[in-house]
Amino acid sequence: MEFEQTRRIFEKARERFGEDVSLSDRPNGEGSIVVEPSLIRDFTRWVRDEAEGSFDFFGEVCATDFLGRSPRFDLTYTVYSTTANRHLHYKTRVDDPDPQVDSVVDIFPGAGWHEREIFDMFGVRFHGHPDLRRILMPEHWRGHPLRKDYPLGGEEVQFSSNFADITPQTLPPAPGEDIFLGWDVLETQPSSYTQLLESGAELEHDGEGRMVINMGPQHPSTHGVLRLLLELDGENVVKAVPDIGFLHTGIEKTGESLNYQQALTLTDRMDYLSPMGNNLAFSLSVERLIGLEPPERATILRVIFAELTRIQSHLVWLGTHALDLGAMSAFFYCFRERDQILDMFEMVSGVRMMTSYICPGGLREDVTDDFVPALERFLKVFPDRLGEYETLLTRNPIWLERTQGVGKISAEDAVAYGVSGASLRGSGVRWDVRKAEPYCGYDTYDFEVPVGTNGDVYDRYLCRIEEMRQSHRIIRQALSRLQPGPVQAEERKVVPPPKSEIGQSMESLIHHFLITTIGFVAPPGEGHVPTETGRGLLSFYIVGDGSPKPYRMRARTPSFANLQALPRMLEGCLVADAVATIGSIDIVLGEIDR
Amino acid sequence: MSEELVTLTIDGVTVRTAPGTLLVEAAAQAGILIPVYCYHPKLAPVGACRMCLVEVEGAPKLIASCTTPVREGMVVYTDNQRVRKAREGILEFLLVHHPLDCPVCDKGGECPLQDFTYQFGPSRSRFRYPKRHWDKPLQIGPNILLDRERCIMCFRCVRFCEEISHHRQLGVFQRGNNQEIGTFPGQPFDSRFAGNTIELCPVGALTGAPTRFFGRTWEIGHTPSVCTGCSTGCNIRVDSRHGSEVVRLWSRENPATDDGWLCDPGRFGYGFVNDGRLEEPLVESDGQCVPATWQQAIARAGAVLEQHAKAGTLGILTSPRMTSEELFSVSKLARTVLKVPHLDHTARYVHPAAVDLRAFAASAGFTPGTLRDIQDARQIITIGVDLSREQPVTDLRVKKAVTQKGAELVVVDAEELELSAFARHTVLWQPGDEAATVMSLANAVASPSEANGMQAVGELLRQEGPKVVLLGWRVGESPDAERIGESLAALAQALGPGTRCVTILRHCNSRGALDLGVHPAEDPVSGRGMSGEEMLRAACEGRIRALWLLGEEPLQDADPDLVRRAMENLEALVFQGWSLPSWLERVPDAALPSTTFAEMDGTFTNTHGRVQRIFRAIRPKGKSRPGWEIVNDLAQALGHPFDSRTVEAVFEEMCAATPAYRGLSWNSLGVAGRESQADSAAAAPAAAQG
Repeated sequence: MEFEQTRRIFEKARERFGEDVSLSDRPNGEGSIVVEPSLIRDFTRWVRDEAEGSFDFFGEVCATDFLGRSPRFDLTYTVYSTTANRHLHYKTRVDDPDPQVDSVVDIFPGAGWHEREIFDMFGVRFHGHPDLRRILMPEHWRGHPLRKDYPLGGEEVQFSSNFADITPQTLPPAPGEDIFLGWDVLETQPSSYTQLLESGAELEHDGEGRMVINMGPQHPSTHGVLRLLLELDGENVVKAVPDIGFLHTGIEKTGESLNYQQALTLTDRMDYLSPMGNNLAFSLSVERLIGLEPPERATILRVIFAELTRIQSHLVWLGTHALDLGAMSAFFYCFRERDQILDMFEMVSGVRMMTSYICPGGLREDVTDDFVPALERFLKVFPDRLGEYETLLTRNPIWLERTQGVGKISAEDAVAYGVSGASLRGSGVRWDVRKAEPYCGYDTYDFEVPVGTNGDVYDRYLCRIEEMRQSHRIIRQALSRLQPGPVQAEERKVVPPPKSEIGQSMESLIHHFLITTIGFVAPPGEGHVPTETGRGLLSFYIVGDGSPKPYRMRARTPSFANLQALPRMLEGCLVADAVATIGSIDIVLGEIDR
Repeated sequence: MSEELVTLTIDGVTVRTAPGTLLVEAAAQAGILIPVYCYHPKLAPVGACRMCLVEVEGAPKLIASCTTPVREGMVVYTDNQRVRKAREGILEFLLVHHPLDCPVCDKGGECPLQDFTYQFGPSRSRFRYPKRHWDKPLQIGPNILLDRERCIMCFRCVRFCEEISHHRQLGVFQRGNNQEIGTFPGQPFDSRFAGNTIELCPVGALTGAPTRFFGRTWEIGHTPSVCTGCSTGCNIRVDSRHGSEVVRLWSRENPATDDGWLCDPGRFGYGFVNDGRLEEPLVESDGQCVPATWQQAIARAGAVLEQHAKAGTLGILTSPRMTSEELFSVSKLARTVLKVPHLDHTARYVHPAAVDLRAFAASAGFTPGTLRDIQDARQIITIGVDLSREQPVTDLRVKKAVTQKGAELVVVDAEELELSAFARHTVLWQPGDEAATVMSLANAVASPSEANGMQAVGELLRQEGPKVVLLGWRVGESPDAERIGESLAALAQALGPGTRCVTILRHCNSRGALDLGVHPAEDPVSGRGMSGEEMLRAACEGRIRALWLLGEEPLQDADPDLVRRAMENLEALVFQGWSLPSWLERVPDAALPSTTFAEMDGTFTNTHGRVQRIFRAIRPKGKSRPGWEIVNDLAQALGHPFDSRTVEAVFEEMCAATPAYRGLSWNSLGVAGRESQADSAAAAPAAAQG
């Protein structure tokens, strides 16, 4: 997204909103439009309906705490247009002592969970949000962790020696104790959560067979520590309310205290089935912030690894999804191929999963000599193997029974909720970031993006199978283009010099010393590059401040948004269908909770 | 102060600053960093390194901003293409012969050469030839290592020696590529200020020998604190490792006390924190010291103290290097629980009239002053104190006043001092004749006709001030102190009102000990308590049979023979401190390990009355605990528990009970301290009344 495009939209916005909008152009940024808080709803509606490109897809809203500045908080909205293939950032700013702004949930339902997360992490209130309560932190947590004045080290642990001195964060508040900074949270409607619990309590004894049960957080089919409260009428799901945060490890907060190379290692662990996908998104955003281009060989290899990662991630999805529905053999076959891929990862980086191999500047190291032969062996066997999986499932009557017509979501709903990846494309919306907003030269490769029609579990399955085939196609092309060359940018202020130089050159020694110990410095500004991982739209929004550490490291993850749409998909289904549906949206809790 | 500010533009920013301000300082005021190596705010600028080159409109060549004062209407660019190229070029030159030492160089990680090379310098080397080499490192002094290969010829070290310490022990030799810093034949770099060059040196050319390979700056904890070497109260930064070990001390500028410098004995004198510590409580058993629990040791100590307090045979000697909170607690226990009047902080003889030297000077008519007053003085008189050895950093302040501000110095002492070289006059007195000499001086100032050979001095001191007198503790230790006091009164009269006096005390918290009444006090029942020296004599005679000794300082400077005889004669000894003195020839009944300044929070009061916080840098060694906590335990064991259970509570209680500290609060001390109320020093501290 070029700054020029933003400026054009801004000029139109100026005509409509006058002085209440302004243009913020951070260096190295794509620019964003700054909106007066009172106009955020009108502006959001305008952006969706009237702005050039009609931005129909809600990417994210995130907050940044500029402690010491007044206004203190930046709220950055990112919206995409699935038709015009572009995106737009706009911001508003709110201040202490009681930061608040109108919610845009009714305009973009996908904003719901993002606003909840901002409330949870920053304490910014959203008027009109139907369910404004904490999403990642436990219900009775005190404080807002991503604020800059909230300590990195967590709560003190209660031992017998200091038992009386510590108030555990997870206990309900004492009568009169204020844990929400003096606000009356009950000004909002009773939350769906509360309603659900209360309705469950009422209905428990009414002899009609309705009950509220927990699916998870320990459950073989939730694909991670996910808790779903299901209100059941017999076997039918009346309502589902997801409860997340069990895997929250404070990645975004931790990233603020590490330098960029160290923060990179945190990203592997978010979507842990797509580590190099995360590395890539992070590295691209940091490179955008710094203004650095990796060399061509690195870019081609990045494509190869991104696609291998996609295949490997889909294989896990397929194996476990099939396993959930009783097709146990698929699991073993899928993991056989996956292991071939993980072996290749280990060859080049020494690590099977959390490689941190794709880093700002290019790749950690060049691939080893055994890599290409191994890749060729894999490429040779994979199409037939993929055929084997299809043979097992695609025409299998049981599979068809379990997946067709199940877990449907319409295209409109999917787009409005910000669902991306195969979960979106299964409903017929042909939107893939690799095609829409190409990065790493994806626009130079021949590949198709499969779409479904019915938006059910089966169509999503078909999409992913075909995606694996297309990834295979991309890798073949990339491999044929590979030429010898460097795999790291030659910018010595960011990428450390080769070890061989350290004994010869004073400048190299100094740069290596400082980059290794303190880290390279990123200028003040923003970096944001959207990518497509196996699960959908993944992007990092990095705010630099002229220091070696990111000021804000925000991860917009596909599973977070996709899960938001799950209750919609589960309306009226059977419990068994819930299992199928959850598997079909291919969520990874690591990137939901971070 | 001129009201006419100069207006100029730096990088498009309008800056208004006082005339005469150097361009590099003016830029700093506007928040613009210009890299420098040779420039230092406390040294005269030389323009040697050329890092500070900037472009000034109208000038054909780039200009050194460190030697250029601002001019009205100047337009300056510090970050354009030309300046960047110049900086890159200078750095390239500096790096040509710089050795590839970063992995083994102490400066790595806190090195301006590294940092500026990253920020402004070239990424790659073009130098393909052999670098010039020297033998390295050279130990040029007891504390300093010189690595000539690393030196970038900023000359800060030589300039420091010439302009600040005036110990001209470093020089520049040879020219061009072969230029090197060195010492003079037969003269090592043994100045007691040598350590400051380690901080000044922008590279690892000058490093500390005792602190070599201390670690890396990012793995070190930095904690503000105060040096315990003398009564200046220099602010320091304690660098610690793993939370358990002090690895070095660094300066931390406080214009009120240290003016940014440290002396070597202070800087390198932290070994007592790490080594030789009393790490666990001991009790005597069968003539030997055996480890015990705190409970056992407190019980034993308490029993000894109680028994001898009741019998009136207990003396208490506490170190003036302990924090005020510790001293206050001891004093409180002594006066209110043990009811012992024999409490002192030194076993040297001090004349009763001069126990509190500041009160002594005040009663002579001098207004109490602060160390900072020295550098604004026009006339400075030192009486009975050899600053160079006894309070080195204050010595630097006097030199600064004399050499940079045109002050005149008069030294009054028994012999020529090092500072005499800077003095306009040195007035010598014979031992025993101090009072008479000071009186003559007073007369010489008061009336020119009665000069007695001191005409010149008298005339000098009659000139307009401000005047500062520095009075040393040795004056108080003279048996003739009372008469000296009379002479001082005459001198104060002659010098005129407004003459400030700073009394120079011996130890880092001697002032605190005096403020808190840790000296013999009048007791309505038993009369005046014994001084430390009297206690030792009484011990020899059996009138004092037990001693509660805290720290070794009270006995350290006393007559060793007296100490030995006293120790032999004692029935019981309770020791509390951070290490058992090696010269202690008797087994204490109980030894209670207490923490050093590095292991606890607390306050010290410097010689002129500034109360300064120390912060805990490392964990207490072994089982040691803060002294005031130990006293709390003793109070509990004696059946009179104290209420104050945290150091802040002790501090608040102490301030409430001490007139000089009224109005101070724990949170208001910050990291730079606050002045106490020196004028109320004459009032007797309430704690002494029991």
